[in-house]
Amino acid sequence: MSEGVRYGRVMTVEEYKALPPLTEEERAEALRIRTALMAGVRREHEAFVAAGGHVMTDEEWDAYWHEDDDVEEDWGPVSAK
Amino acid sequence: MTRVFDASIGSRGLIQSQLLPEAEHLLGWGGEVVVPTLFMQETLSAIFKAERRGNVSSESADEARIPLGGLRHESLEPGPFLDRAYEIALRFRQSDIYDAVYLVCADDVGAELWTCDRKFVASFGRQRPANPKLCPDDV
Repeated sequence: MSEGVRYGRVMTVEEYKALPPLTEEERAEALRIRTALMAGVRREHEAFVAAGGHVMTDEEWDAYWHEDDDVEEDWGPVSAK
Repeated sequence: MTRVFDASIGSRGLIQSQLLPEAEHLLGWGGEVVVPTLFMQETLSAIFKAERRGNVSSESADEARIPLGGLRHESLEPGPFLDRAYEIALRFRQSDIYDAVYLVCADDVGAELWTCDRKFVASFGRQRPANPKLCPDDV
């Protein structure tokens, strides 16, 4: 397995494209690790909700994610400067 | 199929106060995932904001940071994507160039781009390309 070559370093697009396809072993390992990590997220989430934590609705999240956008105001006519 | 995730997927898949099951599912997918390094910075910033706002506890923020570093994503230098991202953001009157960086990254590596950002997807109007895919609608 090519761990340490594929992961953990920043690559250029060319370096990435030169990599061999993931082997079945590498896919299985990635799935195992991600499944374990995301199971932890799910457990934490259940505890968060049980403790009364508020989970944003889609509408609340959209507004939260874009609350600093003022693009409608910014995209006015092009200045003649 | 390779997938690219943007920071909205990271946020909705990891931050307890923002969690969306479909985004969790995407992050747990077993296939090849590629992200520009911007993904880590933007998602960490979103975790930071959630903690700063008191939307999550510091313990919960710490828990969100743990999987972020371990999900085995291929990280790409964003430099080659910036000029085209700038052009896309201008053309479609987007709020910044970050979303377009992910789009160019996905196109360059022949991947699906997944986002939860409905406003970004809507910015393309009738010219919406095959990418991006909107979570949860397109899951």
